[in-house]
Amino acid sequence: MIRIAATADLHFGADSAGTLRPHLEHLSQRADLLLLAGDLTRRGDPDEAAVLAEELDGLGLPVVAVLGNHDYHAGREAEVAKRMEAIGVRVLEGDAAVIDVGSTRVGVAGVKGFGGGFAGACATDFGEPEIKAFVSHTRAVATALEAALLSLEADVRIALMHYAPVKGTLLGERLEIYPFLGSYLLGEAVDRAGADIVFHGHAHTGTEKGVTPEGIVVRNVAQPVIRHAYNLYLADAAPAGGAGDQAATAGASSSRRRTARSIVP
Amino acid sequence: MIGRIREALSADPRVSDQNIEVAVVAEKVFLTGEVPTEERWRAITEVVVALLPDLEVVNQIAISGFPEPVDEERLG
Repeated sequence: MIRIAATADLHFGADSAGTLRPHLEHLSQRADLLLLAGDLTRRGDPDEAAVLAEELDGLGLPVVAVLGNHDYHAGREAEVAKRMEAIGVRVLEGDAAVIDVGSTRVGVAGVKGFGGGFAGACATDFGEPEIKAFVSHTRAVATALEAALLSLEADVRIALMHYAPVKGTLLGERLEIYPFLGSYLLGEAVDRAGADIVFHGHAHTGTEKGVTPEGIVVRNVAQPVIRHAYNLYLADAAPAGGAGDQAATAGASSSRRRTARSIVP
Repeated sequence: MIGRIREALSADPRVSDQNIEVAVVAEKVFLTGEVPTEERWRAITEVVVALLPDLEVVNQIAISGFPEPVDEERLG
């Protein structure tokens, strides 16, 4: 049994010091790893990331993150990631990490993701270059996510992203902004590659629980949605050739068992 | 007007928040939603007052503090 703590949309600024750490003091006794599904900062300033890093330093468990749209605002996302990595947080973007929890290998594939919308109301690769660029970026990150998931050799496989892969977890948001909250391409990528669970954020007034079209569990862990500093999820490790493989429906090749880099607490 | 207010809240470095709900009714600007700190709450009021000094700003935004979870969810 793996204990996963997950949260998103912390939106840290200089004024956030001391707001999170008091709620994390017992975390290492309650969880095996902490996942951060993007929007670590308010406007992508590395100094804001430093404030968050101070809160997360020395928690005593592995922390894996992706960045969100806010973390890109200042064009300094690499520096934001670097501040987090300086305290041992693994920041993913189109790649994957494997964490050994006892004898169980927990794999996390991560991307920021992007928008575009969902079946029946989505942007298409047609018209002006700006629209094509928009859709192209979503396709690129979805492709990167799929490749990262396929690369994982793990007993529990997690997809971590900021934008939503399904519209089920957007319930409560205004329909007009769905295309800016996520894309079906991310959900399709997860379904093709297979995963045990998907975590995302970004949709502050959405819903926590959803599933992909193939039935993979999706959780929107944006703090305003979960109403807690983080939420805790318990996942069983699938034996080799077990549930994980069943989730990886047609299209998942044997290459998905390639080894990803390991990290330790 | 609501668009201008939302843009100003998004652009101000003390706020940078796209999730504040704005309504304008009878010369009053109503702000709702949640922010994590009192500093950000104050900054939001200041931004809107500076943008629309002739309107009354009613800041009904909550300052949120999220506790540790009590329970966990078993998946599968």
